[in-house]
Amino acid sequence: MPITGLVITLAGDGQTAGQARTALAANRSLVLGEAFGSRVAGVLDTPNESENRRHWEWLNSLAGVVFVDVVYIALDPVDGDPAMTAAYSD
Amino acid sequence: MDRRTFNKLMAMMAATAVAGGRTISLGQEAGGSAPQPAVLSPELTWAKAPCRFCGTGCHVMVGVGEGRVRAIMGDQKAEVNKGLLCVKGYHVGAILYGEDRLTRPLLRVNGQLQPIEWPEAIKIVADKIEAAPGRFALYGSGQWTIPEGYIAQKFMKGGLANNHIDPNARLCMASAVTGFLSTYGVDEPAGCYDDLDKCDVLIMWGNNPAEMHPVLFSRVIDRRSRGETVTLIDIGTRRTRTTEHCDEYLNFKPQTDLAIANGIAHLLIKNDTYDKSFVETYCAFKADSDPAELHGRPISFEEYKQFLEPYTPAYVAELSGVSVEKLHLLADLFGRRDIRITSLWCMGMNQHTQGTAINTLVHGIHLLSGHFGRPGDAPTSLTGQPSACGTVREVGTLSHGLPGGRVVTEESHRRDAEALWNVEAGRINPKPGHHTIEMWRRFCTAAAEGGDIDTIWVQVTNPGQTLPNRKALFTAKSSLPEKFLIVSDVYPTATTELADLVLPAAMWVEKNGVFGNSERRTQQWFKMVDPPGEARPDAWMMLAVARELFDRGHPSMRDKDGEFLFAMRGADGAVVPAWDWDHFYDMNVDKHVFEEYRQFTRMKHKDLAPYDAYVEARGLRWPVVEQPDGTWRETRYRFAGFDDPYVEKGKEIQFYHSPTHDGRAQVWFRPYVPPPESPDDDYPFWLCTGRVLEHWHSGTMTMRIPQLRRAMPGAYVEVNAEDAARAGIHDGETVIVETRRGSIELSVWIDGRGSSPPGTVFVPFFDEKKPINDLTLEAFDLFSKQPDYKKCAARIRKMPPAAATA
Ligand code: SF4
Repeated sequence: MPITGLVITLAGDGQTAGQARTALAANRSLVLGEAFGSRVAGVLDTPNESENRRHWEWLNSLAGVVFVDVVYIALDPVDGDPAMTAAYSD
Repeated sequence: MDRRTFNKLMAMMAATAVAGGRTISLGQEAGGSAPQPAVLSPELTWAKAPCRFCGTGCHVMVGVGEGRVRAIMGDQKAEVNKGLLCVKGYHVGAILYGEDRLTRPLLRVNGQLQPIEWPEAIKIVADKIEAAPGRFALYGSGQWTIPEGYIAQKFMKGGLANNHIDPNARLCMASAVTGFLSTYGVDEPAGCYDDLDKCDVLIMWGNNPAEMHPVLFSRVIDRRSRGETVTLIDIGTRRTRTTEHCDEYLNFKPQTDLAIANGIAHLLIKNDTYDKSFVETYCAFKADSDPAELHGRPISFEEYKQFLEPYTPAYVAELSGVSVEKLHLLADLFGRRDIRITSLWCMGMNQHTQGTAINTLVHGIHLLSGHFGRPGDAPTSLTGQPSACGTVREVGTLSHGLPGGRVVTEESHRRDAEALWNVEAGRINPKPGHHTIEMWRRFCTAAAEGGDIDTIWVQVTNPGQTLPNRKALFTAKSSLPEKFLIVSDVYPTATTELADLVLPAAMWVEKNGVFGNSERRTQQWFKMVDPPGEARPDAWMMLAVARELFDRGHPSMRDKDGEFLFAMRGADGAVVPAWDWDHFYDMNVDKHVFEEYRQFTRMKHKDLAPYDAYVEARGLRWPVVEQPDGTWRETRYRFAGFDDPYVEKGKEIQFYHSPTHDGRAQVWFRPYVPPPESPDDDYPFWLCTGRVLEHWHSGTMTMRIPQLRRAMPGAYVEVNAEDAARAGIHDGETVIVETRRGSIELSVWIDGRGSSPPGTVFVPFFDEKKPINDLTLEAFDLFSKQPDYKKCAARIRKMPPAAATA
């Protein structure tokens, strides 16, 4: 279920930022919200943690994305996904 | 609405609010007593708390449902983080739910930890103290809450007349304390995080805020994304994620930051660009005395100039490896009056055998150049722990300290504390106790050989992983059966491995708390969920042991009227038996303790507001002073006439705790001194240790959060590509890293997360299975007693062929 609220800060350069916006909009796990200048609100909804991580890395490596801040996270585990808890000793 | 839809809605609302700089309403939040139901959520109750991790002190909103933390959101009402959190912060709720939480007291019997009941555990602690009160020590933490630290402080110094109490913060910010004290006569930064919004130039001295204080760093990066110009300069011994964002990177040879600081001062004087008016009005000059003493000896400006004479750009460039041009660049920036400069530092300057010296030198550059006292012009140290400032520096839980920035060596300070604690004059011991390194050295030395500490009680920290030269200062305990180690913690750790008694602790929102962050901001929260099993707050454990001693007739826990030292009265005037677990929450113990502690804070202008004022606020920066209308006003800029209520009317700047008692701050000369251990033919590399973004300190909490653990599962050795090629070492290969103190096997990460220059390797310390502190040096700063984890001599060996192919 990982659901994270994101603020994505785009580059000041219009062309790269525009390309980044297009790429973001095409990502079906990401729902984009309002934009305020270079900052865009978004929600990432993925079926499991590894998918969440993959999207996170993609976001951070996307040309035109300067920073990704997480502002909300839900902690509930979901079926089929390892619980959000672990022992260090395993 | 199902929970999934609700969470998506909340996530979008939070993101929209933060992106747009607005605040969303969660309905009525925690007010004067307990968290209230939120209007927006049928299922979750929301309340504020500071993040449990670093000293930035971000606020989170914690969503609780069915007795569990269910959601975490950045708190948009918090000035510190304005709704943002770093990767650790947004996972903070998961720290409570590792499956191996300690839930019962455990006693080691025949080598095995066996469950026992709480009354027996409390009796065992009391027995150990009663047997030899002066040979008992308490090792605490910058993660203690302020009330916990205050209770521990009063228990030891006001009760047992024993000053052997010291915190892990000795290992992380003690040199910042001695730096502030010897410069301004009072501890903690004059500026605050607002400086980050106002500076034109941000200089990071051996500091990596992009990973260690990410929310503060993103605050600066955000300014750039809004079109503002901020010049970022990284002065470091290794490239980090911070460097990637910087306009200038000055790579220096370890320890030569002292020479660089002197080189800047040299140029400011040579070029006549220092701020004469500021210096004449507000500064005095100091150098080391013989024998060395924290406040040194006064020198004239002429002597200061002469001392700086050798630090020419050419000489400093030769020592440090920083080019003459870059040294001029720094000096030219400091020489400008039309820009504002903020310096940031943390472990790079503090974990240093010359930590006090480099702290004073950086303050000195700001004072000499007048880059002080205006928003954006500030020398500011950051802390690594959430309450290193609040609980250690302000409550004074160091072996020489008393609450409110006072010290045991001053008779008047002892008398004031004795009066407030209502104990007889003379109860407080005037001799400082053992500092951290000495405490553990004595504990790990046989009694017959001078090891005068028999029992240590560790609370909220993990010295079994974090002490330097660990084999000598911690592991040696295993061969000393007469020594007794008590550990209060939330998870099994490297420290509990050698513990004789383990006490399961409640953590973070499982108890009430108050922290104090890096910018003098005091932050309160309420208990939101129950701790698991029989885990209980450290404050309760301390009260229960104190009461046990009192009931046995031990004089230490009586005040001068014969009453229990920690007697707390309810609204009806009757004593509430808070030492009895069934009655611990009959009153707000934190509030009672905080109000008592508050009286100390006014003794050195560190005034705190009443507890209830913090319930309403997202923290307040001290001194907090009552206004004529009854409200409480915080102070952002100390010593500055426009903001600090303790500066006399009409004065622009006043250092009202000046060590020279004349309103002046001290500009120090301190020479470059070589490090105690440098690379040589046998150990040709510098070894630097530190942290990574995903993990907090010894990893006890963050290694139990699967997302963080998967992101960074284990320690590694970061090796420069040229060094690796020269040695025939490949990425991912396991090698042996060793120093004169020990060795470990680590996998190689060429150019790693950061990038070490040739001749330097870096190893993070979060991984309990790769204890890098078996290798580090215990040499420490003469004044602060803080050890140096950033530089010692090491070598790398390839694994023997058989082991490598096994
Ligand atoms: S920057 Fe520090 S206080 Fe803020 S969320 Fe991250 S770990 Fe927590």
